[in-house]
Parts: sequence; C-alpha cells; structure tokens
Amino acid sequence: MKLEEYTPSQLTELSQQLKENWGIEYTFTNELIFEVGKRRLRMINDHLKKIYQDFLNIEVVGLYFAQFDKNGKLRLSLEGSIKLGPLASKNFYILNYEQVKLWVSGKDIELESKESSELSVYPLISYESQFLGCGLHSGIKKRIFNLVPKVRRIEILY
Amino acid sequence: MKEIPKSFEEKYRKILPDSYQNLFRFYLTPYDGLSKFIRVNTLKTTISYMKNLFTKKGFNFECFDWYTSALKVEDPKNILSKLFEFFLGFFYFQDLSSMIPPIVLQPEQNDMVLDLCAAPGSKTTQISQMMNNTGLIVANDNKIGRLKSLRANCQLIGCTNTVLTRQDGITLKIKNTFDKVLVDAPCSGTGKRSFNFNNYNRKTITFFHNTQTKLLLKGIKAAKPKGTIVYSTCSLEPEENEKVISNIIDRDIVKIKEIEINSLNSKSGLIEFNGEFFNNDVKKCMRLFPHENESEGFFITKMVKL
Repeated sequence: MKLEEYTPSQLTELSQQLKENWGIEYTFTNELIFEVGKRRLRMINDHLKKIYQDFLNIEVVGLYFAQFDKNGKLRLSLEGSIKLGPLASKNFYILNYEQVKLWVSGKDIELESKESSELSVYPLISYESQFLGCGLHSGIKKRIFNLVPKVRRIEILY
Repeated sequence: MKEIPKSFEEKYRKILPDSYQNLFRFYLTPYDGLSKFIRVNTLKTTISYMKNLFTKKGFNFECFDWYTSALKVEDPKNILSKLFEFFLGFFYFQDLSSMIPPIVLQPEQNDMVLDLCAAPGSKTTQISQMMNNTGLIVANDNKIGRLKSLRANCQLIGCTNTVLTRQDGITLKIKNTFDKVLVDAPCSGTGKRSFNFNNYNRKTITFFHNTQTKLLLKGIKAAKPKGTIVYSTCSLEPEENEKVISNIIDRDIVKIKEIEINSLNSKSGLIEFNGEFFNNDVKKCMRLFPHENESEGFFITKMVKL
C-alpha cells in the first residue's frame, strides 16, 4: 500500500471543512492523515514516521474517521464523531430514546419542518452527550438517512 | 458428545497428576454463557462509568485488582451485546486469561510495539488502550480474512496508534526497532474449551512447535536491545511452550524474567516432561490451566533481549 500523507495545505482545508460543517475547531498537530480508497480519511499518530516502512507490507493505517462524498462534502464516521463530535457547536441532531432505538438498528429519522431547516447535508447525531456518527439529511424529504454501518447495528436496544 | 483421546489423557495425567480430572471436566462441560468477561475500553469511557451503568441496569459484576479494566459480568439474559454502550464500543468481550499477555508486556506511552500475530485484535486493542493511543503498534497477521476482524476491532475501540500489516511473520525483515514485542503465536489451542480433539496429533503439535520457534526468533530480532518480548499461546502442550522457550534460552539471546501477577491461579513452567529436560529458567514462565481460572488455558513467557 502506497501511503501519501496529507500536506499542510490539505490539513488546513480539512480543518476549515470541520469548522464550516459543524463548528469544530481542530488542528491536526500530532496526527498524520491519509486518504485511502473511496476518499476515506484515516488518522494515525505521527510516531509512524519513526518506522522504516519499506520493510512492512502495510494494509491499514490508523482510524477511519471521515470520508468525502462524490461532491466533496465531508462526513464523520462513528469513531470520528466520538473523537471530534464533542467539539461541535452546530449542525447536530439530538435523538430521544425512541429515536436512538431506531437509529442503532439502522432506521432513518423523520423530521419536523423546523428541525430540518436547521440542518445541513451531514448532521452529527447524538444521544445523551454521546455521538453516533453522521446522518445524510434530505431537506426535501425531511428525513435523516441512516449511515450506521451494518456490522455495528443492534436490532433491539436494552 | 466430546471424547478425550487416550494420548491426551495419558499426557495430562502426567502433567496434572492431582487435578487432571478437573481439566477433562472443563472440556466436557458445555459453556453456559451465564457470565462474560469484558474489558472496559478506556479510550472511549471510564471504568467507573461502566461500573455505575452495570449497577444501574442491574448486572452483577466482579472486579480484578490486577487489571481494573477487566470485569466479569453476569448476563443470564444474554443482553450485554444489546446495550447502547456496546454499540459505542465502550466495552469489548475478551477472555480473562487473554488479557494477561499485554499486562505482562507492560506497554508504556509512546512505545513502539510489534504484535506479530495480531488478529483478531483483542490484545492489540488492549495494548492500544494501555498506551492511551500514543506511540505506535505494528499489528501484523498473514491472513486477509483475519485482518478484516483485526481492522474492525481496531476501529471499534478507536485506535489511532495502530498500523496493520500483512505478511508471514517468519519472513519479517525488520530488526532492532521495537521497545516491546508480543508473539502470541498460532497454536493447537488445547487451552480452549472449544478445542477439537479430532485435530489432536503429534504431527500438528510438531508443526506448531517449529512455526512458533521461527516466529519467536523473528520477534526477538525485531526488538531493540534490552527490549521486552512476551511469548504466549493458548496451548497447554509442553512442545509448544517450554520446549520452544528452552531452545531460545540455549541460544543466549534473551534473559527470562519473572512474571508478577499474583492474583491468578497459575503454575510455573515444567522443567521436565516425559524424560526431556528443559532449561531451568522455564520455571519463570506462567502456565494457566483453564479449570483453575474459569477462563482459557494460557502459557506466557516474559523475556528481555540481550
């Protein structure tokens, strides 16, 4: 696997997107960011630089924390939202208990018109101060489409 | 119905003359699943949060003073994996004895660690949380299917200090690089309740012995001088354990260290089996028998590279 880490200007652009989308102020100082297949972003400690990588057949680096969609819009993964979500100041949707049961089982969330007008394309989803990734918001359908990976879904929540 | 083969029975009558029947009973008793060992993921939550949650939800649990992240939780309704906190990756199911090799390894913040046979990643993710997501762990495995589970578990736990590599550990070229190396070697698995006795034969054990010795030698080579190496298996076979370590000691490339975890029912390594004498230092190795800890059987050795 050929690894190409983000340049300082790409990191600045990424920080800008975080701020614009969710009001997250975060600078990547001790982490390296790599873009891999399907425009997924992975984050790893800068200790990676200390190792001579030519001797290693690297398959995966660090944590998948975000992804660009085909329009270049950024969304955070479940783990990315757990890490960066607490820094968000806008564009998040807080679930109630009935909704969180639906969300973790992979179901979409219906919205009221007012709720929908306050959200942009990839709102962060939260429940009781915990972050559960991003959803895909459709203003026309007034709905947040579920993006929870199938392997993480739980049918019945206790 | 499981049957214990004659050759296995004869061997373990010698190894455990006083308690071999208890060991055999362990294999023959189906797992009831009424309680489960979990590891609290301190990269995402705190131990006190999880203890409070379990208390609030009415789960009985037991703590272990030698590793505060480990809990034994009673789960007769089998609902632990349906908790919201499981969805979030706040805890991880891991057998108690499987948590010991990383504890013996004692990874510290900012260490460079090699986990040579890492999949499915229970120990890798435990090391990651012990290092508080600092430093770097090179987690290697040679099978693509097994790497998938390693990748999924590193993601679930939230590790930002892991690099996953795919290569046969025996062909590893890296030298004198890592502060800590874990060689949790592939083995026959005779320490597991689920061990399939149809696979128990001398040829398999000899195959594992040879592979384990080669892997451990590569692990030692990859460690820095004075670096720590931990060798572990979930096998109870002397050929896969004491015999491997004894061969390594005779090469004068490592020094065996005492393992200081006293709260478990453990035994020392065997210095003799079936007329074959091992290096006296194998006494410092730790043997965990499954029937004595309600957990998988394990063999663990700690050594320092000379």
